[in-house]
Amino acid sequence: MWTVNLALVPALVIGVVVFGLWALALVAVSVAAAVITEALIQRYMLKKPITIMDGSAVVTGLLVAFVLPPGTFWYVAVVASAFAIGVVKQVFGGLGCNIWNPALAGRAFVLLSFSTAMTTTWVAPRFTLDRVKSERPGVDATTRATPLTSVKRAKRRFSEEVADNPSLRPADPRQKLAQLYAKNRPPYADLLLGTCGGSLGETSAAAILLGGLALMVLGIIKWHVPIPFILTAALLGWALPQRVGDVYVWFGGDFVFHLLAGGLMLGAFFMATDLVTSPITKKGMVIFGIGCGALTALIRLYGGMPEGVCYSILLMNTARPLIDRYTRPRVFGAKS
Amino acid sequence: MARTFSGGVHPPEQKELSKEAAIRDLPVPGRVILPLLQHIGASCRPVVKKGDPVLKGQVIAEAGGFVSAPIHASTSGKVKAIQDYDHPLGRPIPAIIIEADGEDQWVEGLPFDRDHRLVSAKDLRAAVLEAGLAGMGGAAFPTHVKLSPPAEKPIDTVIANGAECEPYLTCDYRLMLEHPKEIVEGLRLVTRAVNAPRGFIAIEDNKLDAFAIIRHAATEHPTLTPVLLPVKYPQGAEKQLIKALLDREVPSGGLPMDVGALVHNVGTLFAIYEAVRHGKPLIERVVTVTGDGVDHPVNLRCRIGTPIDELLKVAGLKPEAKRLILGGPMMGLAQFTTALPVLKGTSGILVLTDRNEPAHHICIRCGRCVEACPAYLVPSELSILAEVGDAQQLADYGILDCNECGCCGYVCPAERHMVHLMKYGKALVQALKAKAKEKA
Repeated sequence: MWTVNLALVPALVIGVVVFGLWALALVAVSVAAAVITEALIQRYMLKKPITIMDGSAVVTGLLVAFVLPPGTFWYVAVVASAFAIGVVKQVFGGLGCNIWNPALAGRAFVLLSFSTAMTTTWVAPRFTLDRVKSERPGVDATTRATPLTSVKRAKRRFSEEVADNPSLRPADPRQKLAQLYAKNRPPYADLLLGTCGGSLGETSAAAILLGGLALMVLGIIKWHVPIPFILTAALLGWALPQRVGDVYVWFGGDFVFHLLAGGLMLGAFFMATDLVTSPITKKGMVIFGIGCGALTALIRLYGGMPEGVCYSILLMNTARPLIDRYTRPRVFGAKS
Repeated sequence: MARTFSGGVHPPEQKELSKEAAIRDLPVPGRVILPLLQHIGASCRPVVKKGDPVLKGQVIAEAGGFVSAPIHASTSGKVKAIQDYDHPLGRPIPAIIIEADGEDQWVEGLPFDRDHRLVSAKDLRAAVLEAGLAGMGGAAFPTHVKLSPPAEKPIDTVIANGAECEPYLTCDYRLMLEHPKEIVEGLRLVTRAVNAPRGFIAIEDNKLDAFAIIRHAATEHPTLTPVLLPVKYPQGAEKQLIKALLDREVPSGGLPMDVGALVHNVGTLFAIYEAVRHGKPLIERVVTVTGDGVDHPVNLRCRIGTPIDELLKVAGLKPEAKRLILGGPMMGLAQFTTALPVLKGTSGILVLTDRNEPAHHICIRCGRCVEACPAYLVPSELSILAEVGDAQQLADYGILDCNECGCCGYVCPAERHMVHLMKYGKALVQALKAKAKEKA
């Protein structure tokens, strides 16, 4: 578990550098809440030995903070972490027995409970690669929509404009779609490095890739979940029909954008790979990854939310026992 | 192309402790204890009673059924008692205890000398049954049963199992180095007895010198081919050996003869040669006494029924010794007493100074056991089903195909008592089947 924590450090560093010290405060509060919740429950409710030194509560605390808006209130982080550890993990049986990813379920819980705090506290990055912003860091930072939200809103707005005024219908919808993406997203370099908007720990694809690849090399996670997840999401984000005005364009999406934006990398490498909530056979893992990727793309393109990673993983966690049952290996000596 | 099987693990070999130790003869002990169950199958029935004098090689217990093998006195003396005695299986089992008279006199007519090449297949099977042979690799399956495949299951390949994949054990290795001719002759006899056109001698590639010596001994038998296999546990397991050599899978619940193959441990082949050539019954075997809990790891040739205290005395039991295992570290059985006899299938006595109690936590579903299992099972699921006692699902998900090799327990990061749960799960399924049969 501590190796996973170590693998999350690059993303943590980028998150703090890009969003300021308040991000660090949120992380500290989130981790503390997770660890304290686990210790209290184990000591006073379960009367079992305290196992916080295994590092799993710290992982949950870190991941909860990483999926929160960087400017959110401290109590949102506390509640998300406490719910994640207390209900999603311990009530279901503790380490090894939870059905859903605790951090993501915690995020889903606070999204419903503190919807304003979760939707209006997005913070602009303190600087981007092409210019350094002179905003004051911390709570005063300018609120700004995340890249995924910007693109989704722009597409919606354009469809509404065309509905009101059909003469605005573009001559080349494919080109218009490409423009809608290009004009409303940060440059790819910013998306890669993490100097862009988004959740506290999800913005830097590079930092997460670094940690994720390290875990793969060490054999702590396998490629069978993250790679199919990421490729499916990006491929479908490019291929599936997307509305431009009043027509649909196939194979016109922005592959690289979907690859780098949002929580895809973080979710694929650090949440979907959670051993407890993902299938136990390699075949099952691939199916799980593809399912997560498909649901992510569907939610991003057609759902109400701008980002689909959180719910796609939670839904696939729910399907995990079914996947395991149907991907049971053929026993040695049995007829296939 | 490296011939191997899917799954498996690579525990440290630890063979350096005893591989240089040439086989030493252990003197005949003061008494021998011969349990009536030393093999897979039916227990034997005694044909002697307390007070009877016996000679070496004399039948003292007859086979209890077809899947059974007679037991012979391993030295001459007097039957002191027939009573329950501690057994490596962990429960007392009736045994014939013989007080040695020091003469070590053979029964009349044994040993003889005949040309084994002229013995017919039928006589060969009879000789093997009479000699009370059972698999000496540890499983102790009555050998004559393997030599009697039904007509509808022809054998095309006989495999001599010289893999010795268990860590620490070197008795087969030393036997191959020191008695290659007898082993190859034993293989030849078996291929003739079952009409198999070819034979293989499978040796793991950590025993290159044994491979060279066996290859030399096999040069005059062109149908017998020594084969080197990559080191991986459990390469020596029958089904995995057949998979690696022939790429055939023994059907679930079936036997190697179902895919036209037969496997015999090299120690068994040696004993077959001795039985056919000299009429010698199974009264002695080589045992590796090793581990960091003994001063001098040795390979001892001793009589069946020798109290293991005698072997431990020669090897020098250290005061720090904390764990005694009969067999290898992966599939051997841990013992709570040293008051045990050497059986037909006792390949090793392993003494360790580390008690190594696994912590046994909840399964964290990491999947390492799934990768390691050579039977393609999902040990994680089976262990949880055994813990909750769901016998029907255990049966559905193939627990009876588990060969208890220990790979799952070896890799489990939660240190679960995997093999224990597999054995327990199997017992639950057998109980369920017994109940179903009762109702029918």
